[in-house]
Amino acid sequence: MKQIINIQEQYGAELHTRQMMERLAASLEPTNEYLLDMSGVEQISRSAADELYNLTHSDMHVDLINLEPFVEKMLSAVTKGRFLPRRHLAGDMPIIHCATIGSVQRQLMAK
Amino acid sequence: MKVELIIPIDSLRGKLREDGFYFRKYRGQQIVQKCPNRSRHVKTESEVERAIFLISALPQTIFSIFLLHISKKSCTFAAAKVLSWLERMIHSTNISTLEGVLLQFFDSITTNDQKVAPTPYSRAMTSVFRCQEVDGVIPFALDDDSTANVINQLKEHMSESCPELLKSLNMPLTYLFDELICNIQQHAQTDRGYAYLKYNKEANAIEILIADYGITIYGSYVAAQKHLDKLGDSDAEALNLAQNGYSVKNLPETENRGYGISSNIKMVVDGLHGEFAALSGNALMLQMATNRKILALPPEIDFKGTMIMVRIPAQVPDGFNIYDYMS
Repeated sequence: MKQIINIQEQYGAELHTRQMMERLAASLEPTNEYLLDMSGVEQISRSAADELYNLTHSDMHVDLINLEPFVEKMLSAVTKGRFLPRRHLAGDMPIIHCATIGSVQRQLMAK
Repeated sequence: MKVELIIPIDSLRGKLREDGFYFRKYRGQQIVQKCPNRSRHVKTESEVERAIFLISALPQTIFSIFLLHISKKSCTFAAAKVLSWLERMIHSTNISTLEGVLLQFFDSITTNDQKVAPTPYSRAMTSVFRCQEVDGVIPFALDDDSTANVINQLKEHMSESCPELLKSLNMPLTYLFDELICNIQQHAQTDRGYAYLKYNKEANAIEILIADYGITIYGSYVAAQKHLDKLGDSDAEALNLAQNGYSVKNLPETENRGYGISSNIKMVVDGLHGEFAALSGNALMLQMATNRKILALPPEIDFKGTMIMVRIPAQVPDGFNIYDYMS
């Protein structure tokens, strides 16, 4: 029988860090099966979602239920990030060498 | 209008006196005042404002100091004289201390470039740069509880000053804090961060600062031995790599690493029409809708850590959707 863990009750409505999810993973027994109830978890960082992805794709028997929209979207983004090649879309920025503080000031004022 | 200035007397002596100023002692300090006999009205109000903005960028800690009081009646004359002098001097290094540059930097990323004095925001940044405590900057440890606490503290502060705004910006702000604070945890090799958030009523914008005294962005690439070929020995190149999503982790192609700065820049600048700046080592990245550049700074400006500065207008643009910045 799968054990249900209410994440919001244990970790709050916002999951901020990788360490938080690593702590969750460490608390689980490898031989048990778990359902992580995500209801009430309104926000999750990309890092925490990435660790949650690791957890649900590990040898552990862990599934997620009741995802809130933001969490679902973030997990979807993280999942895509695993399979799509990294693209560096921002491109290079111009680097301006300022030898003096005066030249820094000119650059700042030339906004 | 009354403006109190603290500027280096040595740089002024012999210049302004010819133009109608004289020196005298005031409470044990040298001061300079406009000489009433040579007063004249020469400049416009906008030039006065400009002068005051330039004055606000002046250093406050070097040499002897003096105070200059500008009354409303005489401000046009006095400010015009100061403006004239400042415009000659502002490009030279002898009055340009780091503090002046930093204050000016912060003032310069505001949309209104006419300031009476440095803002609390620019003072916060300058204090962090100089490892000084200042009201409003919250130090925090990097464990789970402290991280959650500081994010809640920042949002609580915002809910007190502008509760309606927090409703519309809650998700983007949490996303921003998460990414930036996680970056410190993962890369900075330090045990502490510093955070600041204030609603600037005058500018109708949220002003945010997240900083650490860690190994800098350049240092984190070097520590991980990543992208050294592109990096050279340049903090500016490190910022360039970071804003372009290059990760310092071992498996950037199979993990969601390296999105922190790049995704936030996109959300802040493109999505929320805000401004994003990063100071790391001796490089400064400036990202605005109309101006994106990295400045490789002179050696005297070398921040031993990384400071992210974000300014977000209080008006969330129509059509903004945070999901557009999560892919």
